[in-house]
Amino acid sequence: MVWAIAQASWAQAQEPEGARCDARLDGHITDEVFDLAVPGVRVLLVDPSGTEVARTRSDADGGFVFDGLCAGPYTLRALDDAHDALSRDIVVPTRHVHLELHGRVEAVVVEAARWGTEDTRTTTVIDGEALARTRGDDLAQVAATAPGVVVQRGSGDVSKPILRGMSERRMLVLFDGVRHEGQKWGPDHGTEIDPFAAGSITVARGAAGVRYGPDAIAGVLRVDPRPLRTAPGVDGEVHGLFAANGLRSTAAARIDGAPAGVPGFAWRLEGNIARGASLRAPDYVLGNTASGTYNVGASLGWRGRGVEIVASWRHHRVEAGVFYGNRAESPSVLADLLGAPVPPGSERWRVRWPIDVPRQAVDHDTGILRATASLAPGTLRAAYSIQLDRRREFEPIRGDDDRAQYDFTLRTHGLDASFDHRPAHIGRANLGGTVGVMGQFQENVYRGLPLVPNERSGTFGAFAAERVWGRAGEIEVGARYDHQTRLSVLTPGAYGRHAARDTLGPDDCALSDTAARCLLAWNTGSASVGGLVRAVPDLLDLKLDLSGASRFPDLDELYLNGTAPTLPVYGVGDPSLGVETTWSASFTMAWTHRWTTGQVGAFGSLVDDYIEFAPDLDPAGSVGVEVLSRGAFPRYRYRAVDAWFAGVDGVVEIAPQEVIGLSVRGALVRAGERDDPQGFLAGVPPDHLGAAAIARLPTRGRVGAASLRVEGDVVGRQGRWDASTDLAPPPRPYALLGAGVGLSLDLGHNVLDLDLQGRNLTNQAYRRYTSLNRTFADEPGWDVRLRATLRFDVHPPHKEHP
Amino acid sequence: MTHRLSTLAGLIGLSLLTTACGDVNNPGEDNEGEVITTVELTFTPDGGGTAITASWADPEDDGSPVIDDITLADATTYALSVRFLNELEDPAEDITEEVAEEDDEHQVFFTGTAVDGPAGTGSAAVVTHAYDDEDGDGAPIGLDSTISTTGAGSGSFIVTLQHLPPEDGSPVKTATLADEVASGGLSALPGEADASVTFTLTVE
Repeated sequence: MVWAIAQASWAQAQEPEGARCDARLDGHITDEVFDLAVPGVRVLLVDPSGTEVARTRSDADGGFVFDGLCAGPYTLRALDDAHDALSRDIVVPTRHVHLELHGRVEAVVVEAARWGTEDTRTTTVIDGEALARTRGDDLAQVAATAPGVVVQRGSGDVSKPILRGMSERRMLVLFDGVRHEGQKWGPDHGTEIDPFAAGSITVARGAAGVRYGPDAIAGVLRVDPRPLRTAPGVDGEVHGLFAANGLRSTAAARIDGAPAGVPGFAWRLEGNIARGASLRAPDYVLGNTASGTYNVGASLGWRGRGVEIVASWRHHRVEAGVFYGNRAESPSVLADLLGAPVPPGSERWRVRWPIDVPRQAVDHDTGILRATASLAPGTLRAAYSIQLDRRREFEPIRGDDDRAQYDFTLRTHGLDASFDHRPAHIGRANLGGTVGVMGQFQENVYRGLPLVPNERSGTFGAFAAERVWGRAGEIEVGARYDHQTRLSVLTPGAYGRHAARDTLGPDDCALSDTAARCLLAWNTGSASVGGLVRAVPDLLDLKLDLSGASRFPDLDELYLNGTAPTLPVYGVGDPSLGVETTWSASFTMAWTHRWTTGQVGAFGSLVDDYIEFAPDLDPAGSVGVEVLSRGAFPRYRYRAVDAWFAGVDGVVEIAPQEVIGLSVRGALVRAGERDDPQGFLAGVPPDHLGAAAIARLPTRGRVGAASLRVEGDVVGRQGRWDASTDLAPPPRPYALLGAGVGLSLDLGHNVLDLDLQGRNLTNQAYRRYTSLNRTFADEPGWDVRLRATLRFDVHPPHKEHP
Repeated sequence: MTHRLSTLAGLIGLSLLTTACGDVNNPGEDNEGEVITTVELTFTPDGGGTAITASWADPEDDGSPVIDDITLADATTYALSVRFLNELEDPAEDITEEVAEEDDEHQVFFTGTAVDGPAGTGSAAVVTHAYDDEDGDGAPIGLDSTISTTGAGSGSFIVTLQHLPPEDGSPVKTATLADEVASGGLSALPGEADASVTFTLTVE
């Protein structure tokens, strides 16, 4: 357990405030336990756009200095392999800033930061003002501010992320260091995480099986709460937000405390509530897209004598309508709708608050108990987590029955433990590493219309990794083993439907009068080699990562048998599907200079047994048909193909410290089947290029950190498709315009942030390829959002350094 | 695929340590949505005679329906009644009663190449359809209809039960929905199709 205090002070030149970028920031870092200076810590200074504007290392006395800085908000990050990563928001100018950087206790097997100062993948951290600007958005929308991440919109006001062309099921989502376990297999199932709970969000792009375990095929989305206080006092935030499109109002608060009379204890209470009416596309209302969410959470921690224990619990609730126009209940209706410029019936839809059927309601509880012990040979970490996820989907029915037509309950118990041995010194290099194990037990209980079975699974993993680092760079090598055993329990009817389609037989399951029990087991291994070369120290870094990762099939891929509510096909799973494995190469170039900063990543992946959902063709090439009482449905099957992915993504900042700056970001992904040059993969996002011009306004008195931002996004048309990958042609290209203005008011120990944003200001009618509604309706039109955030510290820390 | 009974026993044993573990072992597919597995048509000739019945039945709802052909006599008028059943229940649940109780939110449409009528614009129409019932607002329901044969031939006869719950708090069922289907197809309808089955109809 470590914490550090860095104290910084600003020395202003003689010119008027904010007129020139010549401010100095200095500080120093100490170890919490030993109160000794920590040399060699990498210290990064990041501006509100998430761009690293400067970096340095702490000297022998733990001190660091940045010169030539402009006035404005920044995030200071301290990274050191022997300590937990630290970050703190700061605002310039302030004559004397006391930064208290808290130690962070990560759970366990999944934490990357403690292995090295750098992830060897392409990594984007969203925190500080960059995170604050997204308050009110859901997690996928927040993550999509990072290059390579695209929003997959659901049929209502929910969404999920796509990373480097791969859907969320191929992305490991970590919340507070724990694998997030929800119903992410469904295309209309949003990620059940509260973005307000995040102190930072890290997007690591590229396979990461060794570090993170199963599912990290495309990469990792890590949501880390702010660390608890370590010094006595109370601080917190209060947010108020309003979005014009959907009349969505949000209120949020967080309070952190550490009682002076009970040394070592700290606590947190947080919560928020949001309610929105139906969204509006440029030419019509998107009927029944009203939604509401609320979140509550509490954390309690204690640290002392080299031990830290933290317990936390959070409840997430979302209720959202399913767009009336998303009603492809049969292929013939879909065919009629394809050419309709306006959804039939849209003249009836109005902006309303009630959430009608069809609708979905989701509750997700997460409880985490973790302990960290700093021992002589190293650091021991352990965490237990429990997650309860309840998803209910309601369809229009006759009568007064209030039961859901699709009712999923997912219970997950997780136990992780790891040990970081103390770094050894080999000449001028250092050697550090970690070994760990993870176990998970999960139950998925389903009630409702025929769709998926009940399941129970046990998963075990073990890994080891070592890293060598020095001034010239870092090298990391790791290996991992994972095992999963899964029991699926089908109704006799569900078994019969599979047997009729030859996907299950008597030898596959234990049959009884009430159920068919089918047992599956898999073993996987993964390995990684990664390196970082400081080609030009403190200016240019080059990173290369070669990693593998695996994913166990989801329950729908194995056992789906029926029609999904929002897709007019009959889906059939394949219980013979095996583990999906990727081998990925990722190259990253990152640079930091006064006039330009940036990070560009190129990647290529080979995916063995990539599972895709595709039309079931007969030998003549015709799509199979399932005749149901609701019509004739084309039959789709899950099948495994060998696939490839490749692409480039990144962000480049021009003049990041000047009054006027420019930011350009983009992403390009290509994918296909390895055995068929003309074999495309469904759902790969089209090319994207975005640019933003930023004006950083001079500070005047208590009004500081003001900025103006104008940004545009251009999204192309996905041309790599055919009738075997999608039911409808991808939508045409589009361009969106946005703008924003923000400022901070210094209120002494408190800071008031005001932010006004405009999105899709030209009210462009467009359709998003990665939206469930792409066939039926346009995306939401113009929106103006106002945010006010008060950050307070009613008992500022008394510990200061001269 | 691997069978490991010992592992299976281990998983079951581990589940005893968890809450509400018994749920996994008792799978259930409750039919809160009232699946319609069977559509029964009864054609009763005007002036007496033997009624003709035809059904579209998938009693196990597994995509293997048994579909009767419909054969009618030319130059004859029939009273057509429609029933909707859920045969997954034992005894079978007659959903027709609920449709009748909520007639302001339901309507049956008759389309296909063999049908001419309020909704049907069949290219080779051999029957004419007319509604014989209406709800409290004067809009047709379609549980009872009149079918008149207009010449020998055959074609498709599609029966669609549309559930028309209110949208944005306002009723969506109107007296002109069949006309809208005739001009814009079934996709012009609000609501959802609870059933849409296709028969082959022949007039001799």
